[in-house]
Amino acid sequence: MSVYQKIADDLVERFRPAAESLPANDEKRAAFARFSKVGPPHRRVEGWRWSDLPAALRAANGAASSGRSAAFDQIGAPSVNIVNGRIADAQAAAALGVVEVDEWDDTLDPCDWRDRFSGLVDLNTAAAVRQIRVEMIDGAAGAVWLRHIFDSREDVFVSIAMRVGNCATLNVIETFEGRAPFVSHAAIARTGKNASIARTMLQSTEQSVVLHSSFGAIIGVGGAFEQSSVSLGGRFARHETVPWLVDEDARVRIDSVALVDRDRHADFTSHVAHDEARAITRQRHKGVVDGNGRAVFQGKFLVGRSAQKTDAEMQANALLLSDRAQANHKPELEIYADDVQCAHGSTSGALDDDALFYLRQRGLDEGAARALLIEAFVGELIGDMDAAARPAAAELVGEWLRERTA
Amino acid sequence: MLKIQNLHASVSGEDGGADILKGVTLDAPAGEVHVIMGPNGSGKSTLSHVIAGREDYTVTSGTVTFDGEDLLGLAPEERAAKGIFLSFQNPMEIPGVATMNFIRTALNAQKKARGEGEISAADFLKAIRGKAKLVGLSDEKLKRPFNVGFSGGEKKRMEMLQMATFEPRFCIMDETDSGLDIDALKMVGEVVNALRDGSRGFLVITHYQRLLEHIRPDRVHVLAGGRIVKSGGPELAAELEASGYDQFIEAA
Repeated sequence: MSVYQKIADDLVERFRPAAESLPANDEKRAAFARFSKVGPPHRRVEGWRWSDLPAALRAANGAASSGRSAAFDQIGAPSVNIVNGRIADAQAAAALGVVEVDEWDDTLDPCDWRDRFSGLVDLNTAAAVRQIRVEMIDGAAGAVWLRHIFDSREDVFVSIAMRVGNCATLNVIETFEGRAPFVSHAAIARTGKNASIARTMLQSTEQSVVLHSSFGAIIGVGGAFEQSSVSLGGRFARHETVPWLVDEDARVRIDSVALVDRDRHADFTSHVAHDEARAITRQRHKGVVDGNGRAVFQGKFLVGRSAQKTDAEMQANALLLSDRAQANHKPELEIYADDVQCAHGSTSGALDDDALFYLRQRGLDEGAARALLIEAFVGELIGDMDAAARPAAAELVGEWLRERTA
Repeated sequence: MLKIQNLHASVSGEDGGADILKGVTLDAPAGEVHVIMGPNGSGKSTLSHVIAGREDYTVTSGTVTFDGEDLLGLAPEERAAKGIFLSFQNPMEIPGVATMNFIRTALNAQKKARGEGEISAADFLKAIRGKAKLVGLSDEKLKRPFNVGFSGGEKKRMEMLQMATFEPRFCIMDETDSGLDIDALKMVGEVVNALRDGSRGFLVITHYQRLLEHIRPDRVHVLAGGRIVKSGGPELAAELEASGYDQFIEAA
């Protein structure tokens, strides 16, 4: 038995009790069987080379905490607290108006686009106790903040299904805080015609957390998907975004900011599939890495045969603040249509000495000058965020900078 | 005010790298405008960066004092707080940095280091609007990220805006006049002359006589081969314009 087979088997056994403790359910059993057979990701699996989940899980431990992120208090949207994957305040959920948030017994199944997700989505399907449902009725527009709070000595599995009706606009903010040994979050959103979904994701969990999150979105004709995210990483934190543009004239914007220091790890992996013509995708990633941290960015554009006039751009920039800081970028274009515009760019470097000297000549001390330049580096993406979440995102950046200069 | 004694400096990190400054001595008292002219590569920009505290250069010998106090041991920001201002030859574009916010932060950092109170947002706005008018920068330009998309001339105006706003005690102007049209040169003259109250000093690095029609210098020095090879009154600038630097390159 190869060492990697052993690692995969160990992963399956680690999660088996969580999956088998749930009432018997064919779909869950089938999902766990798929996870066991092909799903456990380790460093020999494509897309997991730089993100070593098994190693992070071996180091995970069960100490619970009640850590909260003060920055999130600044979010201006109606909230639903979701503690360890379960809605904690049903009354708040019921009072949201056009957005309905509740729990039901259903399982997440990506079906024919399963292969774009990692096997961890099957694990999530198998081990999530209930599913959170977010529904936006046709023609409505509204916002909801799903505040995920983790305070558990056990692994946590959060499953979410979203539906956005025709001509509706859903503005969803998801925040992550606290800790659990392992957090699995999987969400799939389906949108109607000319519907749009704007998602803001802010992750400020504790240093020791091991977190995997997947967000899939099926975008219909004339629809839009926008996502902005800030991750402070963790022992391991990976965020996967999988928009599927199944119809014409869809628009996608995906922005991600990673701020990692100490031994933290943040991974943004995305797979944008263009199936039909004239879709536009803009993707920007900014990683700021200090200490022994690592920021991984893996972006893929898949442009199908029918996706003529696709216009897609991807840009990843990393700022390395220490000698041991690492950034790994893997931009990937897979194009089958012949009349498309696709581009990608990737840079990494240190802070600009000329700019630092300029700022210090004007009177800023070295710490303030560095902080100003780091803030500027991520500032464009923060500035383009949804107004309800922007102050909290800016505060996360500010907290991170203050912690470094303190 | 600013006293430079036998200053030698080389590029940091280069083993046994030759000195770029090879014994510069200069005394620029308060109230005076000193001009440095000289051929390309003679060390003019190096001198301005060494005075401002750029770590890319190592001072191998000599001293620089400001009002009798050693400058070379101070960080760039400490020198700025003492009142040393450098107008950069090639000012940076800094995307993502809001111009007004940056200038106010810098001004308050200087004031704090001097033990002075901060300027309020309202007072700052009032002050900078007036100065912006003087240097010819529109409100729209001030709302952009710092220098982003600015022409060379606009960047120089932004340098003059900061000089006028900070009211530094000693202004080093590194080829501020390069690339400026006649109106902009006049503006630079106005900024300098408004600050010229007898208590401030100026070190103006230039290739051209033109700026000196607007700023009347007290002394003109020729820097060649890392040394000051000739000093004189304003008439020296005109003489250089006519005869060039060849005589000094050979001498150095």
